[in-house]
Amino acid sequence: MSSFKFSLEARSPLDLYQRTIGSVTLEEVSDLAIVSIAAPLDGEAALHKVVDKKLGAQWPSIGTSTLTPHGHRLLGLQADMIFAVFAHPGGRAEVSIQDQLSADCYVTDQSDAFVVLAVAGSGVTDALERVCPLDLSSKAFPVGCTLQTSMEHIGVTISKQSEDCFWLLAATSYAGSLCHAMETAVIQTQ
Amino acid sequence: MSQSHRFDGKGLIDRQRPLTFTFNGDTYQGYEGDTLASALVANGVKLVGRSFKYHRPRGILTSGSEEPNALVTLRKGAYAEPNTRATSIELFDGLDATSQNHIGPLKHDLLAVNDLMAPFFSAGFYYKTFMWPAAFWEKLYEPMIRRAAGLGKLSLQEDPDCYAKGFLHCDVLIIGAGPSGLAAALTAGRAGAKVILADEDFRFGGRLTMETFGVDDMPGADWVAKAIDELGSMPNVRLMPRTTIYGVFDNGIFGALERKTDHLASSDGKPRQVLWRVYSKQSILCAGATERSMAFANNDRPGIMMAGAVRAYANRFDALAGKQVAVLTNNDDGWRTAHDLSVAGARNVSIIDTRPSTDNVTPAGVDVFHGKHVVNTRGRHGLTSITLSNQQVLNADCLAVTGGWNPNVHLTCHQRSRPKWREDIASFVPGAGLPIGMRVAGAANGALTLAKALQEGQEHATTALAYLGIQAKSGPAPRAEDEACEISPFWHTGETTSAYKRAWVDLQNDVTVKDVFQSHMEGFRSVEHLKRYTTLGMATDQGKTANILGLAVMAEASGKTIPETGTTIFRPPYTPVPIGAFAGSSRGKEFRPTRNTPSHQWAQEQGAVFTEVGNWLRAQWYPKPGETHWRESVDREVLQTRASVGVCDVTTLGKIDVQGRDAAAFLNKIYANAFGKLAVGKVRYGLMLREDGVAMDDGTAARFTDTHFVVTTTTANAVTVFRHMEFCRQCLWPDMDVHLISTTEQWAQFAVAGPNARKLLQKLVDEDTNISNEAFPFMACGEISVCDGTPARLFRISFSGELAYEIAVPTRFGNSLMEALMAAGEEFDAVAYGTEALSVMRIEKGHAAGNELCGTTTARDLGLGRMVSKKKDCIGNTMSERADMNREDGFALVGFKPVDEEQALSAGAHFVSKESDAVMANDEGWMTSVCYSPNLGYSIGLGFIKNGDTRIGETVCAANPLQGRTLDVEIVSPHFIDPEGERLRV
Repeated sequence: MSSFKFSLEARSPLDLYQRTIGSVTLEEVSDLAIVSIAAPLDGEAALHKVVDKKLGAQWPSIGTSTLTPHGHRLLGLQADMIFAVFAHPGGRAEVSIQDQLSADCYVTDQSDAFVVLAVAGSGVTDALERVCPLDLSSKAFPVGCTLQTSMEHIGVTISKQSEDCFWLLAATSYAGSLCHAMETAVIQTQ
Repeated sequence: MSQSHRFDGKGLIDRQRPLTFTFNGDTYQGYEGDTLASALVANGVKLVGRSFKYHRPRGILTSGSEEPNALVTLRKGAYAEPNTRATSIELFDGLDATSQNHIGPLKHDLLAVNDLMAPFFSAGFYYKTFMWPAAFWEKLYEPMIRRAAGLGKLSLQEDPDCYAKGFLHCDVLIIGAGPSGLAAALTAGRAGAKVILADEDFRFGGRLTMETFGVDDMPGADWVAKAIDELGSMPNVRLMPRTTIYGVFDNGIFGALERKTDHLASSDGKPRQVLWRVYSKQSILCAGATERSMAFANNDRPGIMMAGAVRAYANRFDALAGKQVAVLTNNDDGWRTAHDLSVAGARNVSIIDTRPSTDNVTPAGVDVFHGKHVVNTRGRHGLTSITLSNQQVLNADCLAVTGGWNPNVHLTCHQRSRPKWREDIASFVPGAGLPIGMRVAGAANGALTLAKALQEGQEHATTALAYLGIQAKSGPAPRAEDEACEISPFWHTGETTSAYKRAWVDLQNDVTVKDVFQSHMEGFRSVEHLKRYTTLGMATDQGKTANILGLAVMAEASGKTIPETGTTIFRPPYTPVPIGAFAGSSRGKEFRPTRNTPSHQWAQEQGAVFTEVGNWLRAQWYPKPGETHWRESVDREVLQTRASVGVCDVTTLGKIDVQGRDAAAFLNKIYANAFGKLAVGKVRYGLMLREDGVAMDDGTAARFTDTHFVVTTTTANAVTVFRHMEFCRQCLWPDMDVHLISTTEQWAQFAVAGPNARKLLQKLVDEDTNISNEAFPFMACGEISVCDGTPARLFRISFSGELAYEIAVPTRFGNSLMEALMAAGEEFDAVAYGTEALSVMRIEKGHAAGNELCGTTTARDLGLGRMVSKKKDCIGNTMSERADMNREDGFALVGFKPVDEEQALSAGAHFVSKESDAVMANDEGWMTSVCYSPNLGYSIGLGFIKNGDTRIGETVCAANPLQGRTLDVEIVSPHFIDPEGERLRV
């Protein structure tokens, strides 16, 4: 082995972007781990129980999310698969989840697959209605609601964190375009 | 001129806010609350434009979006917007408008000569004339006609304004904020429903702003203001003035155009207009009605207007359309115009009622002519007099005409509902089969009187709420009286053949009564044919004031009733929508989103030239100083890679993690070749077929554990393959324990290719990883770590034909890994290569790519027929056995080289034998991919040709008719470089 040494430097998709425009703040949420957890065939009920017991939150149904006591947000994306989103600055997040669950399930690290853009502030829904086809009113889209949609031709998972804060999860490669689309929407509505 | 036709009234203009504007360079004054049209009326301007075909002088006809005449170009330079209706433009300080469609001054348009040539320009003239000589049509006649005809002209500059789009949701969408719309909104809003109230006008109220009616014992305008105050205070109600609902689409979806800044001198960087997609559970169409005209000789002169418009200018804008006003009517509504004008101060007001008698009370000082009509008019640039059917001549500078009211049924037709005729109002009303969730109230539904409109608005809102499970609060409808509205249809004064007494039906398209009769005479008798032959009802106004009149004339010509004659129906948009609004922010480089590869920044820093691959931006090549042509860069990258080592970002290839107890069995069914026994730590090339046996995609599958595979796809088919696999998993084989998730974005992946690839990688992989040929042979894979602990995946696979690896790290490290690879490769003179060099090397190696996997070729065509395992079933296996897909003279993928090595091959060329003509009957195949091979020193290609694998060495012609080239080419092996594959395995 040669003496060549090179340590790799991690870069977030938006370089920790943060900008406030009027009453709305756009901010990349970094250092998040995202792990998909899929239930094996006929093992769904058992896995739901394990998740409830080990993580402390219910397996979310499609379109909803649940929050564990340790701050893991579980996003219900499809019938037999959820995303666990949690703070985990190090690598191998899927191993961490697998270790916590110690159950028969399939986990995949998705931490690098998504950029997470938080959009928050009093004018957030005005801006989002320019790009998001979903009804984001409190009645139709309560806090915790999480749905997949398309914004400006970009596949986006939108998750409501609080009344005036949404997370947008999009494929990492689209980070720049998503950020530009949201910036434009915010600028135009502020 | 200072507002010579403005009077002191109770209109809805703000006299404290005077505004200055220009029309054709002349400066005028108006007030906030005016439209451009009302301000022109107030200033006594009658001539505002020229007609489409004959360049006849034209004035303002209406006061709304149905205006056919008063089309102007608004603003200047790049901001100029042609064909803008003066009746819809909200006046602002500094507004600059010009008339259009004339050569020379508006008053002295040179093209007015067309009017003298009218006998030659009758309906459909261009179908019958200009036939000879044939070549003249394109070069002379059509350009000449186009120059003479048409409306406004585009600036041909890029639109500097910006536009936006958006999405809205509501329980009840109310279209139109007139009396029925307001009553509906109040009912729905008070019940707590989520309501959107949209109106194209900048002021809510509809006809209540233009009439003197009272509601709930207060003036109509006051009642409107009170209602808007109440609605504005409701958080569940969204008020959208300046918003046109232009189209109805599937399942309660509406298109809406909101004019955000059109009423301002400058948009100040904000979107000028927003195109909304409105999702509504219920909708109530309260779009009102449009007044129609009557046809008589020279009924198009400036000063001849719709009676309702004349009334609106007086009541809403305190502007008199004329000082000597005659009203021509066949219904009670015309009498109100005479009354209101008389009150407003117009002199010599007279009423010409086509009915022999009526019960209307004659306003004081108004002359009435019962049973008469108008047979001619005078006044070149503005009306001066009219001639009645008893030949009496009346001096008039304004003739207010009303032929009745047409309910605005347009939006009801957008999903093919056909309006039905109602005899009592002599007009069409909404028919059966309305768009889902739509109800129609008020004048749009034929309820032409105020009390009925208010009542219908409330009732339909209550019904819509009940449908949504919401209880409306009980209470009476707003109180108002039903005004007189009887009508006795009168359409036109008779066909005339005189060119000087043409009676106009459609003012925007210069269609006359004679044209309609002529259409019938020539056999164009269906209303659809009538429309196309005469152009009746086309262009920006879509015949809102003309259609019913045209149908009536057609009915008369054919001896049928109007309902027997039928009607055309409407399609979106209700009024014109700028293309810019449809585009929204999707312009220029924002036309679509882009995807950046993990090493994008590094590539940018190297000055890479990028190419679009779907939405991806990929480095195409990396120019070096001194290189003046892309080929120099690409040749260098290829030669250096084959000589030493090259690095290429291949992240864009699709990656799918397949997990589950049945993962291997699942892949066995997906791929044509076997995967069940693939050992852990090994990779296999795989070919997928479609159900019809045609090749779908190729890639690799790497097995990391018994239950975990990683499948790769081509870049182009990444999504298609994932969808296909999900379909198979969920629908075809739901009893298999398999899970799929895309990891394309999770891993930054780089090809490291060339004789020194291993040496380079050895500098980066951590010490516990042995990548020697023995420990990590060709088609091995493994999870490793690099650069002191960064997790990675390593695959010993090659697309270039060289000793090669693909190494993947979590995407966050991608840019850094590229830097590391290049730094580590410095001692080997490592080169970064782009997609062009990648393509050259795969052609040299004879690997198929998108050009060969084009959706029509089979495994057999690709030379991969033996990969389709007959020991197992897989998608496409059975269908691939069809006889025609296995013909002995079928296509085969082979290589080609030019006989004259100085010549360049061209992709897309078709092969014919040397003795044959280059025609499709002799077609033997086609060239799929070509490149210049810097290793061989000449152009090479891949392609499909019949019986290709048995014709190696034969010379055929490659014909490219598009380039006008035919080239002799030799059929060769597709493997130009290292045909034995020795380099891969060292």
